[in-house]
Amino acid sequence: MRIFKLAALAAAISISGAAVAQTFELQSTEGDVIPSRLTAPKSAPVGNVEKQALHFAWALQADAELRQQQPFVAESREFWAQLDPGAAKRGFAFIPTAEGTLVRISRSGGARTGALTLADLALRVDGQSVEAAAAVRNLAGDAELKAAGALFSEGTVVFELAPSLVGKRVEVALPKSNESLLMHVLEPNSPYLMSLKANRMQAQPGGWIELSAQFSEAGTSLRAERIGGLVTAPDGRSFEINFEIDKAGVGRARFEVPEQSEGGPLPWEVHAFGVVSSGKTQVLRDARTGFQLTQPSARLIGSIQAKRLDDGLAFAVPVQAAASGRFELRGTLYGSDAAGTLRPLAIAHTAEMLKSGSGMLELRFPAELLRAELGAPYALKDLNLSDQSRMSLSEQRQLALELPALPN
Amino acid sequence: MIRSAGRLLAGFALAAAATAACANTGVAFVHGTGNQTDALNDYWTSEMVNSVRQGLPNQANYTVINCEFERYMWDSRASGCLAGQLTSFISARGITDLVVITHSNGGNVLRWILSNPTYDSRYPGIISKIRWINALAPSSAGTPLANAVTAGNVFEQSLGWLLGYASDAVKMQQTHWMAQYNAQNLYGTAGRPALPRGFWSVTGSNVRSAIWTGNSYCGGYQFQLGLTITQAWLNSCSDGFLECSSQRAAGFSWFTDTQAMNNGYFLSHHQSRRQCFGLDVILRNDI
Repeated sequence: MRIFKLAALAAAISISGAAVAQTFELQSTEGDVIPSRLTAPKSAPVGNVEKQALHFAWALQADAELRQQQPFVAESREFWAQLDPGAAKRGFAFIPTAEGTLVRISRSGGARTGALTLADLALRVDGQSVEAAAAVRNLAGDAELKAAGALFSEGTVVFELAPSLVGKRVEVALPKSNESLLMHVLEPNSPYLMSLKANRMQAQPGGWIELSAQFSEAGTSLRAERIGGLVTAPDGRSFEINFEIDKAGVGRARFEVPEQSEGGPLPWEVHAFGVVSSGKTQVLRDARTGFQLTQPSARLIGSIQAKRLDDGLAFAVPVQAAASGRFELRGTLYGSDAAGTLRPLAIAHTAEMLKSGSGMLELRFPAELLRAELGAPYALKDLNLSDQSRMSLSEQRQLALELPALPN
Repeated sequence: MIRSAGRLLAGFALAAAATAACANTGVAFVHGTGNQTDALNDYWTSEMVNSVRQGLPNQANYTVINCEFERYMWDSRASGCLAGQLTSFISARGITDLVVITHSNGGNVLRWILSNPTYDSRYPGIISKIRWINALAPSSAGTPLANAVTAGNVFEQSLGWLLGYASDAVKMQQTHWMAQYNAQNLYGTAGRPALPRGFWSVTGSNVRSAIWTGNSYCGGYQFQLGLTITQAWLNSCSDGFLECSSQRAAGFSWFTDTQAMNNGYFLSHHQSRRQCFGLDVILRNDI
């Protein structure tokens, strides 16, 4: 092991070329998160903030396929309905579009009024009353669900509709109930799907985010009839959003993030409610996705100095902070293989307390991580500056530096 | 037992290093979602823990973690508590070679530590001692069940009556939240840098709850029945709580239940933390 490490160190030094400590200008590419101006955060730090300066790095496999992460695409085959006591008595009607449809019902009384049973339910199929026992299978209450780790509401009941009900108008009612009702219908095998996605994973306060929602039937696009939505901030504020249906039938909305918002570890939630018609069938779908807000409390400034240390390589990165706090920098060092392709060498993290104003963070790559099989030119990629006190990304550069050689 | 070549190679390298340094091996059991005060009895069972620790040269070198994993993974009562208990264990027993066994959301809490080594000064010391993590049914990409539970609460809250129970940990395990965290705050998933230590997942792929089959009863039949129902929220490959894709989303896949369990049995989400179908022996032999 020791022999290997010494060999790696010697090789790393020999491949470093004739460069001395060098200064590099930060590069930027489309999609980078770069704060245009800094704002001091008003929110309190998250948790107990570490005070000690820390450095940590580890090797990455050269054949690791690292790529920019894409926004999550939510796919929904479900919808929710809120029923007031009158509507709960009258019943809620829908047409199951596939076998295996699950209905979950909870009522406002919850545990106080006891769990729902089949006897509480009245089911009508195409207008005709049917025995619940004949139309339902796999009935489960919250006790069974909780035992399985699914912490549904007290008094919740879940049942699966019989396969024979597919394509028929099913009405579910609680005729004796004087309470509000929440109904969740999940059709895991339905061909009708609504997808929802945001165009980016992070937004800046005062910035915007584009949302798109699309219906499909067995993979073929359907034109949405209408789509509404809500964006909910972690602090509970919610904002209505209106999806415009474009020529292709895709719902598109643009959400302007309020200027006074702050970052944090909790995502902002996007909830879209859509309706599509296919023949006589009207299908409802709800979908949710999210995005995180960046915290422009610090940014990278000036030039980065790459320098050789006794035990490795370091990048001294100037940082400007709008307020004192703990800031973290992480980046991935790439080297070139024999064919000239950039491949991952190692990843390094550093974090320490910085005062308001200009400071410096140093990203360190120990010598044993600079493997001989990857040489010049090098690159520093995926450079992330975060406000660790508030667990928010401040700046992100996909390709931060290109280095013809490492300094001696 | 099925092992990948990578795991074997890592094992040889670490074994060589450990031998050279006269390693003192320990094992830590890290529970999943929930606030535990007696995870030995309430979560793992002493039969499971005692069987696994037979693989240790010194059978006293084990710890069963008890933390508040109802919290977000970064919370001091979750990862902070875990870091505190692991650090104390490492220090008290002089552990130099640590195998961590996690279940479900415990994998996410540990992955937070591995992915954010500069967040807490205790993290580097813990990571440096870890040989690898055996992640039993980790919820690395979340679960649609968390979406269902949490969405219900959102609606109920808007109506002014909140009956459900979605803890921070449940909210965190919604699929769209985990996608965000995997892309920004955690390592080990597709396209992201590898974790600094091997994270080897064990995947449960189905639930058996037929009353006439003996394997339904391992770990308690009442749990199996509920898991059969919750399985309807999930795709065809699931352990009743997590889809296989979530269990395999981070790190490396060690094995899927049918490849390694006695008689090719399935491991439900409940059974993957119990002494069922030889799982304990596999874990014991891996220490």
